[in-house]
Amino acid sequence: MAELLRRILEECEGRFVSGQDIGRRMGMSRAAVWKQVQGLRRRGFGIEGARGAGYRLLGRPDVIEEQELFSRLSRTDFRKHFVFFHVTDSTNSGAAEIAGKGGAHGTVVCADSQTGGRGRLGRRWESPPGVNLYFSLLLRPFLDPLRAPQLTLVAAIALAAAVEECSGLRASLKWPNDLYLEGRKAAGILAEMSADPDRLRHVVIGVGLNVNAGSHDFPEAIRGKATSLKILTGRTFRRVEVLARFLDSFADRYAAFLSDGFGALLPEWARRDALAGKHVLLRYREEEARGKALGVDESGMFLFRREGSARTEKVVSGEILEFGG
Amino acid sequence: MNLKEIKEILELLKGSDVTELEVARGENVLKVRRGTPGEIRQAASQLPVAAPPAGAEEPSRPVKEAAPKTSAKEIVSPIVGTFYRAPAPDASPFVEVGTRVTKGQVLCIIEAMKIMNQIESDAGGTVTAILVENAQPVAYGQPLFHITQD
Repeated sequence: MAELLRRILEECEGRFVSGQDIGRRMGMSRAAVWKQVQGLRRRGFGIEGARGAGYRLLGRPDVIEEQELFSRLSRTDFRKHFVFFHVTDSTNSGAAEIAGKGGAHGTVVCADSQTGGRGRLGRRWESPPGVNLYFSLLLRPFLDPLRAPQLTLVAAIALAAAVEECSGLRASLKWPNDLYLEGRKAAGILAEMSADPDRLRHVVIGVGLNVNAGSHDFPEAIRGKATSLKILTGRTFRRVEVLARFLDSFADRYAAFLSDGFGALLPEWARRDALAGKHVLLRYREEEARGKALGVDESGMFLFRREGSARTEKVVSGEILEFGG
Repeated sequence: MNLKEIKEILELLKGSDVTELEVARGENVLKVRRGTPGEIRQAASQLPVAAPPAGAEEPSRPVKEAAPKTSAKEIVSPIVGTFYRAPAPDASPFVEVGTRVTKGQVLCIIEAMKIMNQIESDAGGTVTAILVENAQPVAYGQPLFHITQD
């Protein structure tokens, strides 16, 4: 029913259609039509109602639908299974659940909003509806589990390339998983894997990208640190197009990574490295250390030289708390 | 290469005395290694191991409450990273010594480059030893837990 109403309104794009005419075509009373209109409004359609004139369509929600997504992909890697939630706790949890039930490599799980969007170690990722991208990829690579963590960086490179292609902005990457635009964080990646020492069962790559969020969509505490494509360009983006550009971009880099290793992608990282050459405050092993960032090596580890030390340390697990000039 | 093909390859191997096989199809590579668990562990330890993470010069030593070796199953780390006993800093640990666990139950998280690896118990039983302290670095193949099987 809602689809029929949507079609009637779309046919008359921008012009009023009377409730009576709609009711006749749908075979229902004007009161029932009003109920259907309310339903579409809840899904994000802008519908104006005027006494005596009827209803007219002002705007469609920025929907993300399988058919359109697949038609926008030029590579077939992720043109397989698309699972979409209007609301879910976290797409990573959804993808892990699908993996547990034997879900296929290449499954994409996407949500309009998340109630439990997560960052590292249970930290919250703001996930308001209708404006941003929250999605997870389910991968089942033939890969030594030791190399699996490098997929975080592979995804970050692919995301940077896709964002640059869509927006014309220049993205920089903060090791190992954050994407910055003009000095503010615009995206984060949270990957999860399930493995035995000799066998990788699956990897889930979760991405949260601020696309059309306005600064009012961020809580005050992070307003000065977060940004979105729309805030920086003034343009509104079709989310499905940004997602398609990422999936194609990731498919390319993923293939290169599997055949040639992370080293093949290192120049793409180095070009966007937000930290290399800078003084940073690094936290690892419950301690904090100041020193200089020296880039990333061909296995994706962060290279760090402590203040007063001549030795370069390779960091596999840690967090950059501050970075400056 | 799909699951059916892999199954067929494994079936073929059953009747042979081949111990190691590598099949490449395009970008897919299937590696099969057979033998007793002991042999596999030995083979794995000969693999080049990634450089230890910063601060990993002294991997944490097993805590003293280590259980008798008999019948205890050892859960080892599949990657180099940081060991976390809880899903978040303020959450309670996945397991304690004495916790009864089922096969597939999550025991801990190992984090490396922000990829979270949930380590599951591959057997049902009781946790009799936790060999690494929270937020400490672990090496590839390092024992993490002892699970005494029922």
